[in-house]
Amino acid sequence: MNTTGYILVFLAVGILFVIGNYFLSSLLRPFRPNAKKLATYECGEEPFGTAWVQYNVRYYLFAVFFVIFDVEALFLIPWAVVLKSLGAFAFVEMLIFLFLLFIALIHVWKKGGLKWV
Amino acid sequence: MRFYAAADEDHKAQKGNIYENRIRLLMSNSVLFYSLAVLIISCAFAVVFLRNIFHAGLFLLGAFLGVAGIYIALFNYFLAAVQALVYSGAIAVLILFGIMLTQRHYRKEDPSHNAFKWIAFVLSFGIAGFLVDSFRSLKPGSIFPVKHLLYQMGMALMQTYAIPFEVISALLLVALLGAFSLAREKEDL
Amino acid sequence: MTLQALKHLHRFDGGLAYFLATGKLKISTLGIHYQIPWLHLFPLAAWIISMFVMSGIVAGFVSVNVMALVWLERKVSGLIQNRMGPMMINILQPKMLASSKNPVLKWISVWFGGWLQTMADGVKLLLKEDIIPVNADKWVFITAPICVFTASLMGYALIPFAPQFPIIENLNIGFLFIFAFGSYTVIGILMAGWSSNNKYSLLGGMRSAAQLITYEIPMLLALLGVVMMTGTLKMEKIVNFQRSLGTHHGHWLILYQPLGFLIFLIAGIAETNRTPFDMPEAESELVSGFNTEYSGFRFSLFFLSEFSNMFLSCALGATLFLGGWSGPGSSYGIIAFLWLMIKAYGLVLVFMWIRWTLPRVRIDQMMEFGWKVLTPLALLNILWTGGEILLVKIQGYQHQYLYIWFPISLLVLAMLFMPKPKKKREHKLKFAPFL
Repeated sequence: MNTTGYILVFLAVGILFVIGNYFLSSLLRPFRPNAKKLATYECGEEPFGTAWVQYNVRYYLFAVFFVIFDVEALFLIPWAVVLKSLGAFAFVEMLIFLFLLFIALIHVWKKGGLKWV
Repeated sequence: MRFYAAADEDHKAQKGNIYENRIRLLMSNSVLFYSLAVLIISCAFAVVFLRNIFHAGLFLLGAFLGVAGIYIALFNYFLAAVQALVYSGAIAVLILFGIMLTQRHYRKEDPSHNAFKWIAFVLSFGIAGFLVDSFRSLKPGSIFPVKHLLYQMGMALMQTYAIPFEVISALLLVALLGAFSLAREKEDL
Repeated sequence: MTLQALKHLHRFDGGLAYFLATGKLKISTLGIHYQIPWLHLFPLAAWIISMFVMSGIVAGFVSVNVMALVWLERKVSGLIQNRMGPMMINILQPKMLASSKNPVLKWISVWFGGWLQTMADGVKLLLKEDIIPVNADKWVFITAPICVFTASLMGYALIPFAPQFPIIENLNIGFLFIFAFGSYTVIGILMAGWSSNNKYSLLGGMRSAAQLITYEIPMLLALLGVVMMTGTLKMEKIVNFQRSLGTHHGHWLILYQPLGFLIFLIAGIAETNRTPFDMPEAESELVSGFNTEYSGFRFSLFFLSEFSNMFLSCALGATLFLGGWSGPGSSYGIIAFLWLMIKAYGLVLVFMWIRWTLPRVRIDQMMEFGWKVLTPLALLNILWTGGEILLVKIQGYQHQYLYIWFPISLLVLAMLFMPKPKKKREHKLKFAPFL
């Protein structure tokens, strides 16, 4: 119970700290907006269109790789905790697990999926 | 000195009465659960009804956060971390990147019509009914913290569920290759 | 002074003396119960208040520490790149200090000059006007810095600064908690980039997110080597394991995990968006990256969280690989705390040294390095560590003799990073749009 409470209170304090400081600065700082000041910054040029345009599919692809390897790393954690007590059996199991994923990585690598440009 | 004594006695009383502690635990836990449930459900509604899909994605993230909170309330910190890492970290980034892929992620005038509205309505209610029905037959497990949770999970994963564990690896392999070949067709790498 | 006597000091100093002597910082140690006489009647209220006080202490520590880090960064950059800049600002007249004959004053002016500049910076950022562009998505714009800063603050609750210190103790997932909250940094940065509705911001945010997710994998996998050796994720237990290794004061895990430490260091630099991996705010191309539109206090939140993240990963590295708070005399809380700070600041200096020495890499180089070099190396490290552990288990080696692997692993590392003999090849000019 304590641990859960600690986490929640700490989270609350983290957020309150930010909001409190922000409030403090709102008391001190000036507020004199004008149209030019509030315009989007584009190196001094007139802002051209919106920034919300279509992006490259590459980002999505790398996010997919990340999901897969993140899940893999998280499966490795309980294994790493028990490895010392289980020994060779667990090690072989993990070898198979890693081997399959390593094949996937190599495949994607060879097909040029890890290239950014 | 008086205050010390009083506080110490209070501390002893707290430690001594385990039963009372557990009741307090249950109560605070259910308060936590219901507030998290409200958070999750309101976030889910926001996901469905908001027109700006980036906002919808962020509220989906809020729902993921609520689920992580429920794991924390159940003392399974590992699952909470997994939820935060995989869903709020990876899946949410994936979804936001996916939104960046679409061309029209913010248009106020877009209608929120959906041709499958009624089918979706019936289907989701059907699934909800099925879930409620199947949960009714379950007995509530212990919500009290398990000792050496990670160790026990690792043992179960490595011994009892060794074969499913290996199958997961194959599943991840297939998912990676499938996603790769799908995205590759689009970009023509 | 006995511990009992120290406990009685609570009423006067809020448990500070007890903490300095034992390193225990807990609710009862803080002595909130004793500060406010009627509080023991409401245990829950007392608990919540003392938790707030403790978290406030941590938040204050983070802010002050960041100021020190910013100052140190300026000093290091001045030292490495001969920058005169804000090196000298002091309470006393800088000229008087620098030109004085007194060696002590001179020493102070050279090594501690400029510390007031950070304070001035902080005050300036507090007093600056806060601008929200008209085209921005207001609420997302406001939430993003809170998300980023709170995520980095949460990590501090887990670092064992002294024996029995960590605020959130008995958390069985240990350092995984830091990663779990770290994933909200990615989201915060994406939110900031998107909501600004500025091309530079969005590009910076996207790049930053891609970089953070790429380097999170090798970082997690590198730390798995430590988990395999210690069999736990709890940071306190990992420190105690390192103390139990070897003969006298214990061995640091860096001796057993050199490759893991190297991967952790590189990934840590990338995770904190520092040069050579500072693509997200490449000034020469993206103005300032995801925080281009931010000003005033909101900008300072990003700034704060950048530095506090850097210290957090250094403290994490110091705890997991460099023995944490352990060291001669670490049975005293304050000395243990100092040991951790010394080690963490040592790593911070390495980070700064790297930052001010190396140029920025290109984004494609950075991504490919993460996926093609660091991730396979981290997998290799896991296999290697597993093999070592099997050796210990089957052959009955003692862990303490395994550090003979250290020179061998250094050799392997050197072979891996050996520059290949240069072949003559023509450079193909490819059109690479900046996306």
